[in-house]
Amino acid sequence: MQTRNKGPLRKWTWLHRLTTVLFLLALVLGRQAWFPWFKGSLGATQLVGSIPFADPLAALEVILASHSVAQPLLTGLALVVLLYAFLGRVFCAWLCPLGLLLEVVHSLRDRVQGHFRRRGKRFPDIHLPKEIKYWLLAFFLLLALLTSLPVFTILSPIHILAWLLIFRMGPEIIVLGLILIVDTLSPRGFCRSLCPLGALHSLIGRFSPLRIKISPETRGRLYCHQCTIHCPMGIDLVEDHILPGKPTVQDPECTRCGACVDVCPAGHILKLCFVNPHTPTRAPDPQTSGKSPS
Amino acid sequence: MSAPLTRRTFGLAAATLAGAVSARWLVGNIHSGEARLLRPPGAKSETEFLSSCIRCGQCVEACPPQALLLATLAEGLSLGTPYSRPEIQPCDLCRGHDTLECIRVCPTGALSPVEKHQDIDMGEAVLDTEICFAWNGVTCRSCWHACPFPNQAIVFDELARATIDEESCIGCGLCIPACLTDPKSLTIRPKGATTLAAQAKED
Repeated sequence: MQTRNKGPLRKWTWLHRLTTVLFLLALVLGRQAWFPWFKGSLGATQLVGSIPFADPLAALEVILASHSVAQPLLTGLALVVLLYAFLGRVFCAWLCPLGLLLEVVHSLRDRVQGHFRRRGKRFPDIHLPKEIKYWLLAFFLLLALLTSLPVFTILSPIHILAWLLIFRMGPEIIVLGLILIVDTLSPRGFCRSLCPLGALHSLIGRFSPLRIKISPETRGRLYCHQCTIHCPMGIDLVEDHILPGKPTVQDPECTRCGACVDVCPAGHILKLCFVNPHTPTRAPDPQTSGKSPS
Repeated sequence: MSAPLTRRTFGLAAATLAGAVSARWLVGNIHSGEARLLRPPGAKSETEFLSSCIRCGQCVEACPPQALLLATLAEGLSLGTPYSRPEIQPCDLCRGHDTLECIRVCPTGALSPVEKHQDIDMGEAVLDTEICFAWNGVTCRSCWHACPFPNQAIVFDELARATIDEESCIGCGLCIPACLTDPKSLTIRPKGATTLAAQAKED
């Protein structure tokens, strides 16, 4: 079954999946009294003793809805904003349980799509504009203020999945079903275009120094586009970053999942690392990729 | 996102605003603010509680007698909030602990500290005198033995009949598992719930 080039070992892919699973496991174990390090669920967590952590969107919604700020919530919000300002939109790939579930759905979808294509049939492939999620973020923050209820915190499929794994089942599982339908019709549609939490993480991590660094040695190479094909967030690395000569992937959508690094057949061109924000820009690559520039 | 104020941006902003206003109307219709669930100690009024609870479930995890449950969508917009069902497991006011654990772990102040146990107001017990043993010629003081404030919240008159003092009763529900009648002659009416709603729930 030949689909896409998977490369030898997808180091970053497995590393971020493992991190998500370990984080979830810690939250599930935190349900037990004898495991005191990860209390709570994704809305707010208490880490190792008493370090409060809060979901930035849930915290903002609660502040807007209740017109008050409790001290632990503010500390939790500040810690999370500082962390993600430094690391970027890492939550989506490295911690979000729904992100992991939808990643699995996405790879299944790819296989089904492959089958359809080989039989000459089309599989639904809707592309939703990425900016919808920023408008949804504004919508939910406004709604929290208007209704005095943290509406997204209540209906968020991310929280619902966490409650389901940590606490109990409930009829709210329908919301997860809806999201699965969205992601079947549109590749990673929820994370790419709808999730207001992802939008907030994109905004917070806008200037993070943790990025995909592009080596200057791309000149004169053949562009295989594997990085673009595999990017779960649909970032066009070749057209938007490598060809214009950008030193790093500055796209706020980037979740630092490392999929592009894993699939690059050249191995050393892309690297996930902390970069100096003042790295000089590279010269744009010549558009004719076959020619040797020397 | 420094998009210029194009017609498209303006249209989307208008759609967001209109969407939020209509969603507000929708939420206002679904959600009456009526208290139906028995909240943990230290909870504010139902409306304030729903707006300030971040739905993290830390109180549910911290509760020593595991008296708290996390609401599902069956409870409407209370989804993800903590509540107690005293007929299964009542709040024991953290017997053997220095503080009320749910209040201690709450990050948002949705559960706010109380000075003493008497200040807790989760609701109050409602006694059905038609089935209560003490009102039907059988000597029974089970609820009185379970009550954290005997002779204040549950008072027996000269005919050995139980009455609830609504001022002193904090609504913990410790009397419910103790009640010997079947069905239980005691129910807890959550704070802020109207008598009518409580009756509708009983029926």
